[in-house]
Amino acid sequence: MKKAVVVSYISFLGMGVAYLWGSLRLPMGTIEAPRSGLFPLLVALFLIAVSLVLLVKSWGVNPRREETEPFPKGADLRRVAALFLTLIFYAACLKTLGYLLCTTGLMAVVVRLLGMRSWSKVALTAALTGLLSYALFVFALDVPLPRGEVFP
Amino acid sequence: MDALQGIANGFGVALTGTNILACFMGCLLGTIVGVLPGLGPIGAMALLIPSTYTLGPTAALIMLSGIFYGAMYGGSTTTILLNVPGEAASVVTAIDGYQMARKGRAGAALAVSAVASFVAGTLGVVALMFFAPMLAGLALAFAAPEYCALALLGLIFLSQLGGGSPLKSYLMVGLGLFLGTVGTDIVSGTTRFTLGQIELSQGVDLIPVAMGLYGIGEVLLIAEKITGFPQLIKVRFQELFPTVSEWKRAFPPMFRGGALGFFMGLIPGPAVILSTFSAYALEKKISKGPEEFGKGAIEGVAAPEAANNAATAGTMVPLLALGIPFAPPTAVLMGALTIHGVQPGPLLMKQSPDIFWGVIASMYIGNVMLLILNLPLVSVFSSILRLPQHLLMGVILVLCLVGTYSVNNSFLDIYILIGMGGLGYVLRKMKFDMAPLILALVLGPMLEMNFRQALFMARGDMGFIFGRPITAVLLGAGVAAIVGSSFLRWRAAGRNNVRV
Repeated sequence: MKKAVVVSYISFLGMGVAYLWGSLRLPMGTIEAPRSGLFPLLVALFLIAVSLVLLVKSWGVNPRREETEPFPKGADLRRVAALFLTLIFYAACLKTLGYLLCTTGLMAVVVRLLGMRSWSKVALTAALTGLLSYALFVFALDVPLPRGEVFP
Repeated sequence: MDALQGIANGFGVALTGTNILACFMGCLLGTIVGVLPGLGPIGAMALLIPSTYTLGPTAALIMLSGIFYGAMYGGSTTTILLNVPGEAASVVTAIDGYQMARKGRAGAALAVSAVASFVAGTLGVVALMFFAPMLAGLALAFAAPEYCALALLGLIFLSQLGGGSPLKSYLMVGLGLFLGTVGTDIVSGTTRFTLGQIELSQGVDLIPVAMGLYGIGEVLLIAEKITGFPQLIKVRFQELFPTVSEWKRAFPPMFRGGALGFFMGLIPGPAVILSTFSAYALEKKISKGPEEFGKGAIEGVAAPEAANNAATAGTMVPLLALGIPFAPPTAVLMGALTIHGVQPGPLLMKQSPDIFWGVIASMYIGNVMLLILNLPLVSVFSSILRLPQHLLMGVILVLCLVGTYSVNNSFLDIYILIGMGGLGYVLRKMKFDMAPLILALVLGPMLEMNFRQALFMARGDMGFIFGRPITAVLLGAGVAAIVGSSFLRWRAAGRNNVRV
């Protein structure tokens, strides 16, 4: 069986166990008068049971017959990871730096990562997207976007 | 109010300026989403829910349902011209549609596909108009045990019939139900699984979850491979006219596919996609020349395209009449209605006739708009594919981020969105179907509330729940679905092993 498959099922199992632990700390009530813990308890047991069955079923299965798609390697993997990390960085900076700066930066990274070669075009595309989207959402659609703490 | 009077009032609602514009925008965006491979109708609808805040609930639902059925029209364009299905319900059309295009009949295939979508879409709305009030009348007799059984049945059908591994789908159901329990318990007021975050006490919102799984997850997947511009088959306006013999061959499958699609749409599960496969299989079975299928048979384009459009109308019946979405796109529609403070269900027709009949009437108007958009303007829409991928993906990311933030002005929602994006990417790689997760997240709170009410009502006597005829039939259907589909899978696996 594939390592990724085992890791995914064990993660779901772990999540189910943590959820079970959390649900057991809630008031359970009785079968006649259930309280807030009963339904989560049943869902947690269901999650654990399904994860265990999948884990057992995948034991000894030829990795070639596993229904999965291979994860990318090398430059492709680096591109996906860089994009994901940029998004996390975006979320972390949004409150402080505000929408305009963060979105411009994000767009620059995205268009560069996904194939735009010329730096001047990258800068222009990123700046235009940031400005136009800010104008569209804030002024035209009245959507309040974070302005940031650096440039209030 | 009978159906005819209702629909007359509905046209009065749908034909106001705002609602016509909402319908047009929905159809236009749906067509674009259908044309673009990647972002499907679920992601697009979730993406656009925040933009409906300034609209009333009727216009919001008109626009979002326009995206849903509009995507079915647009999906066929790239399928026929490029052999790249714009969304899952167009996969079957690719078999014969692309072959027709290779033989120089792309225009005819596109025209038949658009007309089939129009004919079946309109017939589907007529059926919806009569079925939904009928079912709503019946549903007035439903109590907590029936609703609980119905929600369970929806989750079982979607997991069993989704096409992938049912066990993996059940895992997604579990995850969706878990996310649905996060927040304040509506009965007791106890906060659950909030990890000390006050913002989570309102629960996990559908929008960051759906946008993350379908929007960000798709962008991450596309980022794996940088591709150039696709080579499109060009179609001129004068080529969009099928021959008389092609029309004659295409019309009966349109009606058969439409009828099959509508009834499959009523059944819980991935009805829209399944209906296309069933309609194609039916046409091939009854055809006098089954050997033509796969080589450019026009029936193979007309039937699935009719089926997927009629099925979208079918899936609206349980949402509008019972207040229970059986398919992920209608789950998103229900999420939108809840945000607008409208509770869909058997009382919707009486309490909010403007919404109920206005949406149905708008679907007639939308189908006409889509026919116009998808025939003369087909080359305009297919040229969207020439947009640079990096720009398109960047815009989708920005829309996801703004859309999510604007729901609650919450930074936590942005983290949930990105986390769900990463999860969506991994789940796609591991071949998990994410639709059961979305449906379980929407149905979870309703399922829990009705489950607890049913137990209160039963006072410990389980015979009270299982002895109710409708509940017993619904639960029996769920068990039959599990046993039946497991048996069919086991038999198919046995056959494959023998062949090996």
